[in-house]
Amino acid sequence: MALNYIVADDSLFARYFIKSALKDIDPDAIIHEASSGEKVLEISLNNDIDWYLLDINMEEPDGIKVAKELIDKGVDVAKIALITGNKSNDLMTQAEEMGVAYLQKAIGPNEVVSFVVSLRNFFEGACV
Amino acid sequence: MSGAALLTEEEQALSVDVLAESLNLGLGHVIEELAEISGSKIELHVPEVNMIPKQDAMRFTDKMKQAKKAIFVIQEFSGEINGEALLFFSEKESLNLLNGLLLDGEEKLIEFSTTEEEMLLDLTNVAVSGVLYVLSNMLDVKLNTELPTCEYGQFKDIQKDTMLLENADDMVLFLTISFTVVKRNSKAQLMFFQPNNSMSTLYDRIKMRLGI
Repeated sequence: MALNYIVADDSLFARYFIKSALKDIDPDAIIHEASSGEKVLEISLNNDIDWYLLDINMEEPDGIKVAKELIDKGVDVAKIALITGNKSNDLMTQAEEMGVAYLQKAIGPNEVVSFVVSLRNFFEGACV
Repeated sequence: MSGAALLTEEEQALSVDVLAESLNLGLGHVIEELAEISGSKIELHVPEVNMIPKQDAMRFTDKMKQAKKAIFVIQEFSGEINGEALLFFSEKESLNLLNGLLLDGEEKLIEFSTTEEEMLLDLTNVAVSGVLYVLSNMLDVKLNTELPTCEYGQFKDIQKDTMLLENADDMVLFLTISFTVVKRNSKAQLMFFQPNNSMSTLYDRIKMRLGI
């Protein structure tokens, strides 16, 4: 059965690349796009979501707040990844404290392969 | 005809989206470095990016007129995309920003002078270079930056000296970036970024990158 994913990022360009990486890994993926944290919560209410890929820096609620809310609602932490282009120690600590994965966003064409690998590792439970 | 006017609304939106993302990522890296240097957590708020008519951008400068003394930092960039980043601050905002980045125990800055100008130029150089680095990586284009220059004084005088937006397209990219240095609760806002005649080139590069 096809799996349901949420790809949340306020940038259309960033969502495009995350979706593209996701389709490489799971060609049958059903991808729900969200451009804000609020939209993520709305989609998750009405759909049975298997995986959450959340940008951190979005209009309030940001990715971290959304992740906390999802966990409070009973979503398995292993199903949530925060995706960001910022190598912030503070953000990494917050992600670690919550127990969610923290993935570096691919910026240039040279980083796409490593992003696909880290995404694949996340789905296989290797980088939580 | 301006570069932006050649684009459809959808193409313009995607171009603005890419610039916003490069701004977000580029400044994110810069702010993380500043946080380490200053020993304070710095929160970057989601940047607002819009294409607006030049006249509307000019009207925004009313805020600066009220602030009286202002600092403009201008940095040109060139390569496959040409443009100019024009950041401005009121004197109060610039001192607020620089004071926020001082280490504990360092003497607070109370007026804008040569030292503060150098700090602001360094900061601008790092910020603009960071954003352009991300943009060039995202789109696989070559971009070079010139060293920034700074103008300081009464707004009306600076406006004459810098010929504000004189070479800009009819539509300019208008950004509001704000961040907070948490330890000192000092906030700063940077504004303006104008890619001269470059929106069409930018969109062409985006299409190539996305394969559309």
